[in-house]
Amino acid sequence: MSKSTKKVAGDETVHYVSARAKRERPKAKMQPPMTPMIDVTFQLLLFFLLSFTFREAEGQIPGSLPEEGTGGVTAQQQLQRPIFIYLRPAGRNRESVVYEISDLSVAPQNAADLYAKLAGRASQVGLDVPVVVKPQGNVRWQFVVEAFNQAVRVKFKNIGFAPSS
Amino acid sequence: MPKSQVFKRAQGGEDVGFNMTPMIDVTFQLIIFFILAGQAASEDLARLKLPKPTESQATNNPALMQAPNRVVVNVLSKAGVEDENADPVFAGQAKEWRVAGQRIEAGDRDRLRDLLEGRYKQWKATMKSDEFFVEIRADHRVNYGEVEPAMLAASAAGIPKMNITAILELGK
Repeated sequence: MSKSTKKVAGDETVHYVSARAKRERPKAKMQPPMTPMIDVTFQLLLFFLLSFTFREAEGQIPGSLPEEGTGGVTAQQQLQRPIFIYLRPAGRNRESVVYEISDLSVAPQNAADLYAKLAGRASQVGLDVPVVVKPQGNVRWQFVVEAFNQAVRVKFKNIGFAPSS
Repeated sequence: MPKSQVFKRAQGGEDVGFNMTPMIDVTFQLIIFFILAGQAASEDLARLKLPKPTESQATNNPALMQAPNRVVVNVLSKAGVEDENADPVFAGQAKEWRVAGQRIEAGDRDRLRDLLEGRYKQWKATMKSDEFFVEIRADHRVNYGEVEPAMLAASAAGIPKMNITAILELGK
C-alpha cells in the first residue's frame, strides 16, 4: 500500500492522506505503562496507613542506680546529709501519691509544689547535696519518675534511687 | 452548536484519561512522610506507655538513642498498651522484662544480671571503655517494686550509669 493512503477498519476504501496532513498530524506519544507503578504505590500507602501508630517522642533523664544494702546512700554521701524524697501511694487505686521531703514538716501537694520546695532547699544547701528518691514498692512508676524529674529540674547534681522501703 | 474538544476526541476514538501526575505526586509525598515520621521498629524498644512528668527534663539525643554502648531494659505492664481502663492493681504488675527482644520473667534478677553483665563485658572487651549505660524504660503504671529489681540487677552487673526514659516536653 502506498505511504499516502490510509485504511479504515471495516472499510475497504483506500483514503488518500497527503504528506502535509501527515506532517501536521500530532505524533503519537510514547508513555511507559503507569498502572503497575500506581498499584504498587497504593499498596505501599495502604500498608503505611494501617501499620502506622503515632508515638510520642521519648527521651532520657540521666540518673544513678540504687545499690543494695546502702539504703541508696553511700557513706560519702551520708556525710553530706542527703535530701530524701519519700513517696507513698494514695487513693483507693493508688491513683495518687504523697510526697515528703526529709527535714521538711509541710509535705508538697503536687509535682509543681515539690519542685518549689526542692528549689527552696537547694538555695539553702546548694546543688551538690545528694538527693535520694525513696518510694514505697507499690507507688506507680509515673510518680517515681515525676519526683526524679523535679529533682533534675532543680539541677541537683547527684540524684539517685533508694531501694523501696 | 460547536462540539467540545473532549467530545471530538472521543468521537475520533482517542483515549480520554485523567491526569494522574498530581495524584501520584501526592501519594509519593504521603509514603515519604510515613517512612520518615514512623520510628523504625526496633526490637530494643517495646511498645509501652511511658511516664510523662510535668516539665519533663528528658532530652532526646539521637546519638544516644542509637548508642551501641547502651542496653535497654523494658518493663511491660500486665495490662498491655491497648487497655486504657485496666484495673490499676493488675496494671501495676510487670508482665515481663524485655532486653533486645529477649523476654525475661519479671523478678528474675539473676538472669537479668547475667545478661547485662555479659553485654557490659562484651562492650568493655571490644571498646576498652567503661562508658556504658542501662536505660530503664518502664510502663508508667507499673509499681516501683517491679522496676527496682531491674535497677538492682543493673547495679549488680557493675553498669556505671543509668538513664530513665520518659516522654519529652513538647517543643524540646
